[in-house]
Amino acid sequence: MLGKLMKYEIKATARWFLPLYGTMLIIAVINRFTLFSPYIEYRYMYAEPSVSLPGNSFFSVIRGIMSALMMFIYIMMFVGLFVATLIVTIQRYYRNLLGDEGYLMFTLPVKSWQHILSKLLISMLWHFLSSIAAICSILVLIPGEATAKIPDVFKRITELIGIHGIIILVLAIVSGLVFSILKIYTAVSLGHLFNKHRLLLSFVMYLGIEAVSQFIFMLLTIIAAETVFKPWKGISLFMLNADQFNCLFGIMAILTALLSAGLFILTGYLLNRKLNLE
Amino acid sequence: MMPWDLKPDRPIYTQLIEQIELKICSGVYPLGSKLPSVRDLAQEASVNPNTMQRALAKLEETGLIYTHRTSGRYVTEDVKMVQKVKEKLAYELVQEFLQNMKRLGFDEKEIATIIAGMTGGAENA
Amino acid sequence: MHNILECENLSKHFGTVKALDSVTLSIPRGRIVGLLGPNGSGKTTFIKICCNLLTPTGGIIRIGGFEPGVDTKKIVSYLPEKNYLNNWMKVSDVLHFFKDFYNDFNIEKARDMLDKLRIDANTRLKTLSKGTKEKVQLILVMSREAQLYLLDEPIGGVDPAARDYILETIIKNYSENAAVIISTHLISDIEKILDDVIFLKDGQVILSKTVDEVRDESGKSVDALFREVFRC
Repeated sequence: MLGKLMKYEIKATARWFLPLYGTMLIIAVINRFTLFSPYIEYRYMYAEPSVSLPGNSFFSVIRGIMSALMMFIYIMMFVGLFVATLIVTIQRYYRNLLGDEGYLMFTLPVKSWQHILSKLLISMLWHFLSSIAAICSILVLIPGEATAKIPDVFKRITELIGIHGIIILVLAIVSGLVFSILKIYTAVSLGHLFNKHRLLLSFVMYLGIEAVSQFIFMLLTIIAAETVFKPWKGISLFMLNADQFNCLFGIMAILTALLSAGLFILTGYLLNRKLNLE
Repeated sequence: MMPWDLKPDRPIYTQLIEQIELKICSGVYPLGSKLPSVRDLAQEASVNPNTMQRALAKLEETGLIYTHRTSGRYVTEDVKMVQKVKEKLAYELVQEFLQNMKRLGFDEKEIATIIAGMTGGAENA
Repeated sequence: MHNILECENLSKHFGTVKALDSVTLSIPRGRIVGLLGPNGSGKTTFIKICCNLLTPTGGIIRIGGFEPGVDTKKIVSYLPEKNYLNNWMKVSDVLHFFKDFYNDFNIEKARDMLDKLRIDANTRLKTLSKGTKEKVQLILVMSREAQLYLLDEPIGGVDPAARDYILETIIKNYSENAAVIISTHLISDIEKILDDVIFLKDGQVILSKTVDEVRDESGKSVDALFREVFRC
């Protein structure tokens, strides 16, 4: 059943994301080959003096403006992608489960936690793919020497923190993602408890959850600083060695995972016992 | 196709019994013919299949209809029985007519005159 | 099991409002039951509890021997009052959706009914009129071989011809193994197809009889009795 839910979740959301990714990549490819791309700017600015492009200072001003514009468009696109991923995450939960479609979804012979999990997993998928799409469009834009440098970056990171470090870092990122999505789901479910102004109250609930989780983190950080991390006093983040780094991020990952589990259980309870579709 | 005439204030199943009797007497369901299935009859009459089933069961008790093992329900071939039912229905119709006429204030002699006049059966007008 | 639905002292409170107040009912299989009452009498609340869309505040309810949950959802087919299908799917997509999730969904039957109504399976739900969408929803619900059908105001906002079609479909679909509960306030139209009627007032059952009993005992149609009982 979970697989089937996920299948339909993908079908419902792909129609938004795939065109978006396509557009982004097309824009990236177009920019790659136009005169006023940041790439050209880069070559012009940092390449050998023998590379000379035609023009006087006026022309170079225009080129400067155009490349700044391109940069702006890029940043907007990334922001747009991020916002779109966020909106789809919220909307799928709010509309499909707690709106009119909820009558369809909650009469399926499926447990509530399967609904939550299917949406969570697919939302994570889109977050992941959106990041890939963003990275790809940057790569398309700055080919050549820059891309050749990427494997070196990975090597350096691996040297610093080891394979364990990378795994822990990935787990921490994934935990963080799960936590941020579940915060949204829980907030919307809490907002749903009221009869009026549900959307507004969901937002308020989100702030509430955010505040509570910040508080918990702060509390735990203080406790940790006084106990586990006491010997490290005075060391800045960049001076940590591999083990310390792994320890820190490992603990963060576990903490986030625990809080996420708590939110998952809470949301499941709300959907099971407190459902009240209009 | 004789439409099913079901009034809202009397039990449905008794009306169904009457309507089926009527259809048998008037030849819509000829003697010895096979009746449509309960479901089809219910659909035709736009009634609940259980109610139709109840009506048919009642009619089976009287013998007007019989069930033939697995092939369904049939109208009886007993001409005399159908004739009796016809007469019963006729009697009920006339009863009702006489009651209504009397309510209008006619006495029996006047009623007979009106009938004669309308049917042209009597020699004298 | 003779009764498909049994509930005892079922209650649902929303704050101080008693939407259902100690309702005790048994509904046998093979019956078509009318759940009748004015707006706010608790009909929709009762149906939602049967579907596990609301949790009771008190009492017990069992469908096919199970408490409302995944097991009952497998055997209950629900037609809500509102439009609950998403807009982006095509009719054929929805058919496959139902087939995917419900083992008792008879896709051939659904296709057949859609054909008869000349609804093209390739159309997007978004483009269908409200009335057609309602017919599609009805077809989806009636194409399931369920043990309990819950129809909430199935003939409410529909034209008379469509109403006839809906009632015809309900009769045609009749199964001795299943019960149908129809909640409505348009009684005269459906009276003839009902076996039993239940009057609900302020969350309580005030009458539970067969249609013929009502007509026999009161000399009135259920519709007329309803008007009398619930006179404003």
